[in-house]
Amino acid sequence: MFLQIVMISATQALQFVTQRGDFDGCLTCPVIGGEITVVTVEEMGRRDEVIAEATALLRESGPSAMTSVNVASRLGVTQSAIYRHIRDMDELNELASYAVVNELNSVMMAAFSAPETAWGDGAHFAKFAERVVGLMVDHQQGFAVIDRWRYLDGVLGEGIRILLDAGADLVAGELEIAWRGGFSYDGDFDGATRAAQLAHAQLIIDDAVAVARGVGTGTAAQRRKVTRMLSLRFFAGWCGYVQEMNRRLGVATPLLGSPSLPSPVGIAPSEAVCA
Amino acid sequence: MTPDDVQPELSRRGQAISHAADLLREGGPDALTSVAVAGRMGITQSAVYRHVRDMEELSALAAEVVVSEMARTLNEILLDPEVDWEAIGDVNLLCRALIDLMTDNERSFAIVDQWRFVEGALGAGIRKMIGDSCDMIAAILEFRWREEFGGDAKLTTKERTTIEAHGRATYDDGYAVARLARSSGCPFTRNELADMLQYRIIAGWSVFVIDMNDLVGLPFPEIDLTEGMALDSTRTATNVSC
Repeated sequence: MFLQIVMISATQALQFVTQRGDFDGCLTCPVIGGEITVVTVEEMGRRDEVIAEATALLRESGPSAMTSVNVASRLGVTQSAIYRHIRDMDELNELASYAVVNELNSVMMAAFSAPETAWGDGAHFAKFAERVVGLMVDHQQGFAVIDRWRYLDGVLGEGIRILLDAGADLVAGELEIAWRGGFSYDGDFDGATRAAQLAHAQLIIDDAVAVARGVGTGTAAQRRKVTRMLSLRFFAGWCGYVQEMNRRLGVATPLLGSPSLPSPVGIAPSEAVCA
Repeated sequence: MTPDDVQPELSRRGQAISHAADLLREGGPDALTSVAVAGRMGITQSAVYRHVRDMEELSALAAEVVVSEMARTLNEILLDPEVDWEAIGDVNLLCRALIDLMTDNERSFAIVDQWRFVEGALGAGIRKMIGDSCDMIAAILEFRWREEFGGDAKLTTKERTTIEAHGRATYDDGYAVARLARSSGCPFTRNELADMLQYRIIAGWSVFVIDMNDLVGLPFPEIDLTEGMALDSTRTATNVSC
């Protein structure tokens, strides 16, 4: 069941970001003197350049900076020259928004693509955190885009929200596998339990986005610090989720540090805990 | 003679600021333009400048109104005499109080989420307020940790930044729960949300302790995640020995 959900959400997210793939190039063929001219390879190249600069501008400075004047100045051309390559700013805005969301989608897919993302295993929290921090360093602007524009109306905000929802579905699926395995539970979940599971997945994602703000310039020391913090927060997220599920489904919650809840950092449980 | 007649200029200025604050709350900094303020006041755009020096002044004043309002609301939570932050047994009560405030003041929380990263007076005011709240949470974490694990030793820079980082994470976590609470079609009752927040706070406290104890060389803490749960016999979880 949850695997299905994961598949559906991931597909939706992909559909969303690729729906410009079938986009009809002729829509934007420059019309000169009322006649449709053949678009040369060179001109398509210029169009791509315009879109690329607009995308960078959107990523760096956000929607309010998306003016034809700003795009033109980045390209070193006049404002009117831009309209030889795009229909209008609405079109450019939309294309740039899809591009930004597409980048974020790749980051998210990369975060979940590796096989070691097994929740409930202390060592794996650290490995998972390390990989996610690597992505945070490489895509700092991408993470900032989530923070800044997730509440926005329009393609950009909507795209970010769809991605975050798809990410939450993925995390919820992984949490469920780990929890069922760890607590040997094979009963069904009711709607409320499933909703609570998804809520914890959302909180875990928000937590990661918040921790990403601390990456800074991504020096080795900062990376280590943030990796440790993120593995601890992932662990906290797992513990919170386990508590939620255990209380809802009447399963006993083990002490922190016991085999079902191993610590993600170096220190071992003391004798006192497991005596 | 009404007070308005006594100081009509001040009153019009007050109105301009109040409309500007409304615009900020509703649409953020981009929505705050002289045209929009004039429209709400029923005057011409140029007439706005009879009451304020320029839009920069008006933006700063309006942001101050919006931020101080939110700060007041959030301080009510932090300074609520009903809630004892130091008593772990009260965590459920605290969480319930927090959820009530989050649900009853949805807009304040939404404004913080939406505009905390924007440039200008509104964003700066929100960031300052967030910084103060995080400092407060960090102070509570430190107090609790010292109380439980002893020690009044001076903290190293590394320990200090660790406490601050956990303070920020706890704060952001609270905002994430508030976001969940106000999401459309949120399927949870306030009690369920309070439980959820509590699981997160206790887990967050636990990893903070793991982090600190590891740093200062103390043993792995004995933490029962079910501690401080509401005394509801039907939901009481039991511990398994390991």
